[in-house]
Amino acid sequence: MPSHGRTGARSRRGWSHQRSAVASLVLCGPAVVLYAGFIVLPAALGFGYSFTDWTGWSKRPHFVGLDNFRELVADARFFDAIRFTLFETVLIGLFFTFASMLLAIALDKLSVMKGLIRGLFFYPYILSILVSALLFQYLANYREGAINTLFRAVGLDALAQDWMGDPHLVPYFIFALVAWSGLGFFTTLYLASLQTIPTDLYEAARIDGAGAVSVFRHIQFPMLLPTLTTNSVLALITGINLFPQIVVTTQGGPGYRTFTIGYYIYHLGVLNNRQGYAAAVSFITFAALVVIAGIQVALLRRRQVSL
Amino acid sequence: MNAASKKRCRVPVLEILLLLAGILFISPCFLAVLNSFKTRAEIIQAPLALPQAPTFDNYVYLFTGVKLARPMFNSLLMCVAVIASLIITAPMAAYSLTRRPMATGRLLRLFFLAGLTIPFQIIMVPLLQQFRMLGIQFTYGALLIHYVSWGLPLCIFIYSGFLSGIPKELEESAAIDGCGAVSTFWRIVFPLLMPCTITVTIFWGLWIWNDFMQAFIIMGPRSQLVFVQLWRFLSDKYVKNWNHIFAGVVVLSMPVTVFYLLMQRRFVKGLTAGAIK
Amino acid sequence: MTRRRLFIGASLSVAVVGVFAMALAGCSAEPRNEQVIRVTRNIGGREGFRKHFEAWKAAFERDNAPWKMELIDLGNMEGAEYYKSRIATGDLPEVIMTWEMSNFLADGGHLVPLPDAYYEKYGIELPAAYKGKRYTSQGGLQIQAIVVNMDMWKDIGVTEPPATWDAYFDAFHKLKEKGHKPLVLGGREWSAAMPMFYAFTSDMYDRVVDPAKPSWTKRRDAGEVSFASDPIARQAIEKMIYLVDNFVDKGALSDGYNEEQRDFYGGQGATWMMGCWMAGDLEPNHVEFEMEYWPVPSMIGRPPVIIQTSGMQSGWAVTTSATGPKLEKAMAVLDAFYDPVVYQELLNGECQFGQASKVPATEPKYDWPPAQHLIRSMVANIEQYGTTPGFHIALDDIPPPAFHTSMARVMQEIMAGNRDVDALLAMLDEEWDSGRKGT
Repeated sequence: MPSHGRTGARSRRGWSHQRSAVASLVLCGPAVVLYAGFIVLPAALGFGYSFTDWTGWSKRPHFVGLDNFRELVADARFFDAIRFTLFETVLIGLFFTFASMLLAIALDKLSVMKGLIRGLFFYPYILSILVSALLFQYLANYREGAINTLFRAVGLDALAQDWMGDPHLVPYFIFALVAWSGLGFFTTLYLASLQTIPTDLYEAARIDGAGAVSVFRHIQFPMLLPTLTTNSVLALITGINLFPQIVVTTQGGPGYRTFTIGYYIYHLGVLNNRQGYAAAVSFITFAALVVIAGIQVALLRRRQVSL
Repeated sequence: MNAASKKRCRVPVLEILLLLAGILFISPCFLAVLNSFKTRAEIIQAPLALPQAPTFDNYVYLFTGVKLARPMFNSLLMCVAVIASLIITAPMAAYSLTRRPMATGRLLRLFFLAGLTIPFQIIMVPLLQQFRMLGIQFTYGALLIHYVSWGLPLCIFIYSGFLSGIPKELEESAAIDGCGAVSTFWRIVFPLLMPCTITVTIFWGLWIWNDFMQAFIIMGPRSQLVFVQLWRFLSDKYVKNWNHIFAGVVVLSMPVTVFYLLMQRRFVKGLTAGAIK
Repeated sequence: MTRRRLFIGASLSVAVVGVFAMALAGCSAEPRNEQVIRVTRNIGGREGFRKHFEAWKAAFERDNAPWKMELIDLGNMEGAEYYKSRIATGDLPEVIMTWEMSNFLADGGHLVPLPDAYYEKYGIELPAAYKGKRYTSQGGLQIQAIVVNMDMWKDIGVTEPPATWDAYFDAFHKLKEKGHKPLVLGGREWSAAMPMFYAFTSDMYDRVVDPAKPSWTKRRDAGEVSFASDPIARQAIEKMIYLVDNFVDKGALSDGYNEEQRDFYGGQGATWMMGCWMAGDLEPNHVEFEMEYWPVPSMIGRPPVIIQTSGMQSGWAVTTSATGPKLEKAMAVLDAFYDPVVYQELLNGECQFGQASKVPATEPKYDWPPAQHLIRSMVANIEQYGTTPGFHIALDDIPPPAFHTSMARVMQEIMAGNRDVDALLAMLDEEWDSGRKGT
């Protein structure tokens, strides 16, 4: 590409205003129309039900103003659910942000059997959550599960636990299931990002005699920051909305100890037929999540290197 | 090239370790394969044991009883259509968002981000009523529109992430050359996003392929999509025919696995080597 | 480079055109045929249910040609979500299974009432009316009680059903001493609730419904009584705690219905508190030992009894989607339901006993001798001990939906080590109140 003498000071501000409006419309238009029409609009209507006592069935729900929100503030089960959800979210967030990064870097370095080994870590993501949950139940069952059977086979009987039923262990069981099935996704995102690092940089580092840690700190990590932002926000959302994995394993049990916010919303709407109240809980969660995610993105993007 | 030949002489320690770790990681899946060769009663009695009399009956049933062939084709078509639409709309939008002045760009990105956090339960009824008003309820078209809209927040978010790591110099040279924003995007930026596009293809394709709940609600039980047929046909809230389901899962995960392995070749380092210079 | 771009551009354009073609063509998955009655059923791969539906369809189409009956197989779906979505779009199928949603459907004006003559034609006892009306077909008699492995019980010399919970506990201790696992109980799913459900039903509700006396449910809703204030409820919880402490092993919380089946069918447990439908599983699971079906005990000196969980308005109903000629044909579907061949298939598939005295089908017929033996035992004990509806009294006299799940959760709490009886009772009360708000 022939280089011109000008540094293009005017073009640094982007293209001219007139063309920019048309261009923006073309670029953004389809996405915004679809999104606003089929997500935002129904969501606004759906959230609107939080001001009613709708059961999910009736055609004409009654307006109850802020009653649902007042009930929410005093709802002990909601706060228990928040606590449990936050606990899981921290575990999930840390794991999917950092552990998958390390795995991705390791997978990136492979020279043979690349596809196969990456495929091994990716495969569990392909399985439907219903199947993954059942497989984990086969592992975790106290009397006949694979884990305890193995322990007993080598004489380590004392280590056999009720991985799914013991209230102290079940949060980790859920975390293990989420981590196992989601690792493929987050690792692949990091891998994709790692592919965009030009080999020249690695060459230069090698010539300079930089070790692996140095390469990581100065080349890989900065390039991975955008993906780190993406992954950490997605992990946050996965954690806060944690629900499918609960439905297919513990159903919020034992007792109410693995109620997450997402499961509580489902419980209210589907099992208790209180869709109006469920919408209120959902709205508060949604608002909180948007704020937290927004702050997270803002903080992380500020640290990104622009080359 | 020097680095590669050096590696050939070394013992592939990393490879072996990761291979073993990978096999351990995937080991629970062997249970699914194992159990797909058993009868339902045998799965109840001995889920961990080797099948006493391995049988292919479950697999046969998938194609004769459940008749999965046609739904597999439909699901594939749906995946292609949705992904094509997303690849066209999402990166463009993400591009426009990330290249805007700070405040509006961030606000718009937040606007799209919010979509990721909305549970399906909330939009379900209003969405169905909307489709009814538009006259497209229970059609593949409605499901298509839903899948694309539902996928936009995630795809835009992922693309924005990638884009913020791509330097602006290339586009600026193009602008100097007189390219409009749209053609700059398609000619220069989009090829750079290839790893991201592949990633999005794999994930969203997989999500649609596996989806059962939303397809069932939006289209109804006669929806000829593969996972709807598998789950609806083979399980009840209380009773699940795990023998058929495991066989189904093994069969249905094959296309995605093959696709992923093929796409691995595109995940080649240095895609952008030299382009910046 | 250019050629590749052309290729990519071309294929994307083709894809986009395909997209629009699909959307515009709107290839519908549900063509609205005029002479079809749609009927929902949760078949989910169950042979017995499928055979029943096919017989039903054959009977209807034989007598109503050229009309057809079409299956909407709800399988694993939450029927509720499906119905809600169809109500939203004004497209409920013409004949639907109502399960525990009859109230919502009726209140929403979606069901067509059935005349008393319908029930009288087949000799069916009239189900309790809901707001003065009746809506659903009645299936067979479904019972829930206790199935026992006679080999193990004979080993401790007990061949008659114990009359009290304490007598059962004594027997359980003896079974333990003989090396048998006295009770099969998994904590993970809905089946955890069974012992508690039996205790409440047997002793907190009248054995025979007295229209003049409000039921416990009515009194609870009026605020006259609660789980916390009722000594019988307290006693029931204490019995549950004793049960769990002595006869439920560590690890039960990771066992669900599948694991219970594994244990009982595998001959590893002496007693299983489960509904009569399990008899239909005996042949597929090759269960061969001798079994009997025993009534549920009492804590307060009442005789043992078998719990009936049918007779409510929870069968198939005609919806208001059926208008004009469809209404007549939808009613014809409900008539075909009681065709003797069809009804027999229902009894076989669901493992229920006949409740239509004018229909010559009285009990399920299985070829598997141990299953037939168990059926005999069921019939004999229904005869001897009688049945009680417990809290399944009427659509407007029943605990909140998901009450069964609430009981399961409290059992899980007990299995997890919670011994605070007041807290456990309070949980039941909270769940009841919360469930009631959704009606």
